[in-house]
Amino acid sequence: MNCDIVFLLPLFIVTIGAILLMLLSAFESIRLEVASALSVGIFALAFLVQLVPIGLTDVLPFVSIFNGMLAVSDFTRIASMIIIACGLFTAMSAISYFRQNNFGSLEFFSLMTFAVSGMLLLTMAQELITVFIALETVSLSIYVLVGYNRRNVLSSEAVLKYLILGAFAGGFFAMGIALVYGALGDTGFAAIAASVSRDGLLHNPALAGGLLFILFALFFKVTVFPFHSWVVDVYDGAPIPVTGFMATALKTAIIAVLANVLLLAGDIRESWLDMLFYLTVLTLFAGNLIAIGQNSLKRMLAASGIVHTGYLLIALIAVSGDQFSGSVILYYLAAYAASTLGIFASLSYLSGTDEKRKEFNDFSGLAKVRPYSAAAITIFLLSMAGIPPTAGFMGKLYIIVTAYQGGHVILAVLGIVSSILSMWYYLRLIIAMYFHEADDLFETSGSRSAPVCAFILAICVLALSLYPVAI
Amino acid sequence: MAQNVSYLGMIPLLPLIGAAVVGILHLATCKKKRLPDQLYAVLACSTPILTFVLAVKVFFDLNGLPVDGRALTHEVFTWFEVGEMNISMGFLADPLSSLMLLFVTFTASLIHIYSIGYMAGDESFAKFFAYLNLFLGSMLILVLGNGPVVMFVGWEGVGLCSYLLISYYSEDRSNVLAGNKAFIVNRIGDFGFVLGMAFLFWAIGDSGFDYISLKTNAHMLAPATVTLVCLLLFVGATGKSAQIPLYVWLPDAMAGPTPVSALIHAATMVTAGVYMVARFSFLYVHVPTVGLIVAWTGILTALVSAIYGMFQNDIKKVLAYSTVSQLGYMFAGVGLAAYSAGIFHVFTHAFFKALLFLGAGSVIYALHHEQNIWKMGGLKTKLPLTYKTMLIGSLALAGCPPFSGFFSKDEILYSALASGHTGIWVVGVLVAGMTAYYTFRMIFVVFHGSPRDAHAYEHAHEPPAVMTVPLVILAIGALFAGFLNLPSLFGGSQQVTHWLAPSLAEHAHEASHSIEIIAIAASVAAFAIGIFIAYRKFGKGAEEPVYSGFSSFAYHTFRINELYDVLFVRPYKAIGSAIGNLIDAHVTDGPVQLIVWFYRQFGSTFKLLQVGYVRVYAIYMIIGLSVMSYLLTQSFK
Repeated sequence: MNCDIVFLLPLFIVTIGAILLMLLSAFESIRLEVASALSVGIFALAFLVQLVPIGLTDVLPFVSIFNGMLAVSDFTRIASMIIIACGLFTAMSAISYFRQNNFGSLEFFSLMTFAVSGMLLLTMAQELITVFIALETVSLSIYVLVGYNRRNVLSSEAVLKYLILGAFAGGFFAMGIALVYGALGDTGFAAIAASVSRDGLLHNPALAGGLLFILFALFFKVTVFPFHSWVVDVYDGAPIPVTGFMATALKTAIIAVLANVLLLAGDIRESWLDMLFYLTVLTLFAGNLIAIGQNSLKRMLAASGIVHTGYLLIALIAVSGDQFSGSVILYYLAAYAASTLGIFASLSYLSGTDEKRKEFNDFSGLAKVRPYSAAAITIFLLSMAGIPPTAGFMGKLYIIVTAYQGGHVILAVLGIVSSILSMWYYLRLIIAMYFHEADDLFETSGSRSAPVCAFILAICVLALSLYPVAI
Repeated sequence: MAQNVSYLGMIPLLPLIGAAVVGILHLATCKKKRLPDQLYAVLACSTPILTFVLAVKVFFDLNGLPVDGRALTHEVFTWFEVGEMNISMGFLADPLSSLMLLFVTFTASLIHIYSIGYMAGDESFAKFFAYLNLFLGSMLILVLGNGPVVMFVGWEGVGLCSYLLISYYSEDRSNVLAGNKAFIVNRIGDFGFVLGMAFLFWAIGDSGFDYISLKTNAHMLAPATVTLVCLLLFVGATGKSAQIPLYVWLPDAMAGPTPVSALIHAATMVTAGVYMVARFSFLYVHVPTVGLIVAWTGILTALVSAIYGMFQNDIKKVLAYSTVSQLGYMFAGVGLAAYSAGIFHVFTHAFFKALLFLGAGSVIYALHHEQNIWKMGGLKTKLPLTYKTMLIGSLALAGCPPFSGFFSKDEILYSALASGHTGIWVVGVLVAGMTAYYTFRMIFVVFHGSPRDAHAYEHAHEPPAVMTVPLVILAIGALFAGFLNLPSLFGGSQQVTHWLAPSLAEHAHEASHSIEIIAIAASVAAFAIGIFIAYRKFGKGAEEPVYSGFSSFAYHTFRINELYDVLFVRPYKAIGSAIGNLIDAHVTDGPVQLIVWFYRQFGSTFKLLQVGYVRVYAIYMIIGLSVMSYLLTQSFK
């Protein structure tokens, strides 16, 4: 019982911190830097508490109160750590961003912290309505964050698109819950798992249909083809730190839920294997092809995020539910989060007033003017492209090896092919930075926090590659 | 059983931390206000000294263990694990590596201290020390690595540092080219190393790829595999340790600062190849034929470079060729399965060759970067301490009893004679005479006679204590290190050989004392004749000779560099430009461009789907969901 509080402590810390930050926003005299430092402190504290190991099997904290709605294990713990770290680095680099874009206010940090608390809840949720509430907590915070720059047309357009499509997907999710409840009279994961492993998924059409709707909503959130279309416009319109936050923390949380749902009982994944296979292949290639056509860095990164979702789907297909530790998925998520946050931290710092630099060509010759920034960006890009000795390489390697060992040779091969295709747009930026002449002075606000973030993350990207995981 | 001690990991880590701290401080401040050089000096010199202390601890810890169980291990983390390949970043200290550890950290400490004086006032003082620390860290990884893969990490690390430090004075293009040459020639050797490692892994790697497992499983190897692996590993050794045919980079490597030549290109890195052969003695001992190839390669290298050494004008080139020549002796030793003799020569050579290079450094320092011996002369009155210490070093190098070089070299020659390889022995004795000759040619020309450049002579003065104290300490080592392995003929008990015995798969060559006396007598005679000729020609002052005929040919090192240029470099460049200009542009590029074109078209088509209207996106989603639902209903049938 004493341990239970420790397991949930990170969630409490983040939630209380979010409320505290919201209250503080009432005081005009508090500066943005203070709020940023405060949220960094909250995340750091939560991260430290999260270091306490739990174990591979699910633990249900406070069963008598929550009635099994929440479960924690090392999988949720590591996922939470990644999410908290994403929040921490975003809070840090946002300060550099707001130096040059003057629409920042204290509520930004509060909303971000609320989003993180929702995400933590998402990873632990073991019951559909809890998932729904957590998902909406996250979504509402992120809607506001996406449209934070109210004067910018692109930003308003992005939030509208995201809101409408998100509501659309959310409706399906609610419908899915209704169907599952209709079929089983229960919305707990345990009940679903019991029913599926007893009778098989296809025995109960209402249950299968309900789960399909739920999957659809989750696929929408992690941008699986063909539910990916919103992502490019939304990422493009959102402020840079928010884009980075969405691309990393949100993806981690939703992938954790997806893993929890798909691996509930062997039959769920087995029944949909063909469908998942096609979705994965299409996601990989659609992402690549969209990314190739982009000239804007943010749009390219959005599209490349679709590809990374494809890799995560490969891992979800390939891992076996019986001995699921999630290590491969979490390693990939950590590697991806570190590289992506690194890029967005660098962009927060370099993009200039009102995000005036966001096309590939805007970064021509960066290496000659700001060699360290260019080197850091190069490390992140190489990691995303999957070139050793970076974490991204190891992540892709593990996923491909897992796919191969799980008998999904085609997926392994396609994963490699997609990795080669992705060189096109990642190397394009490196070429622009290193082989073109600079016609820009790349003046920045001089704020140190985003460069520090980028530096730490670059070290992380290299250091993570030294720590292998057992497949 | 091997004991696990965690401080083992600290040994390579300390210099690496030092390199990072010094390097980052330098990078952060070099454009603004420079930090004082003293700070860097203290930071950089503390790490080798600390590692030396740890090395002594390792020695005593090992000494406290029973002879059969003398091994300390530490696995820091699992580096990678793919299929059957499980490589951990782990370290192993056994008698062999502990001996290497001791003298590497000892000479490194002294040379770090010496460099404070030698590099004083240099523009990028801190950069130099960061590289030097990085080198030491890599060298310690090489020595302490618990298996071939970790050794290879260090192997490449020292190669990198060697490159960085050879090209240290990068304003001069020829220095940069010398660095390139060293790097490229070493890559050829490394290729052999990697291939050898791969074959070894392929054969027995799946049951553990560290030395201890390899040693236990070595009996499962087919003889042909052992031969192949040993040959390939030796190719790696010829690159790093400058043997025929890959020795050409070492003389050029003298372009680096003199302390670098002393540490990397004389005392430590270049002996890595010998260490590697000794490390794999459990394989080499089964293939005497390969051993013979190693030994003959070594002794011929010794001969050829001794000939070059007799006709060089640059003081560092003389020492460089003598290093190549001494490395040849070491390979002759390990090739004849006299591993402890080879390693013992590595050990003593580290002292006297580091001493000679540092002494040469003092001379160069005193004469403001003059390296031509024919511009020196009579310096013994001006640089008395440097003279005395260099004299000790030269006597050790030339093999004068009872200096250290005498015992170690004699042990190698004696094993050659005792094992019946008379040919190797004869060449070895000949080389010993030539060594005495060129060493004392250098001593006589530089320190004796009358000054050839009066102006430089007037301004010459003994360097500061920070440089001379290391000289004195190394001189003591060069004088007495030989007694550590005193043969029984002189009443000794061969302590080094006994110490190394658990690590090496050695055949002891039992032979009578009379053969040992013959070997010693021949060596001493060769030494005496060599020194006598040198004295006759140069003892009382001599003018710069004009090389012609054979001597000119030898001065130009038999035109080997030109030969390699014609045989390898130019054809290679021609093939490269043919591929680049013809095949690449006209054959492969077409299809590649076509794919690129298709790909770009595809991309733009796909981009069209991103119309930007929410309603269209919603339709996509509905279509997707419909297809998914359809697939689901299909599976109900």
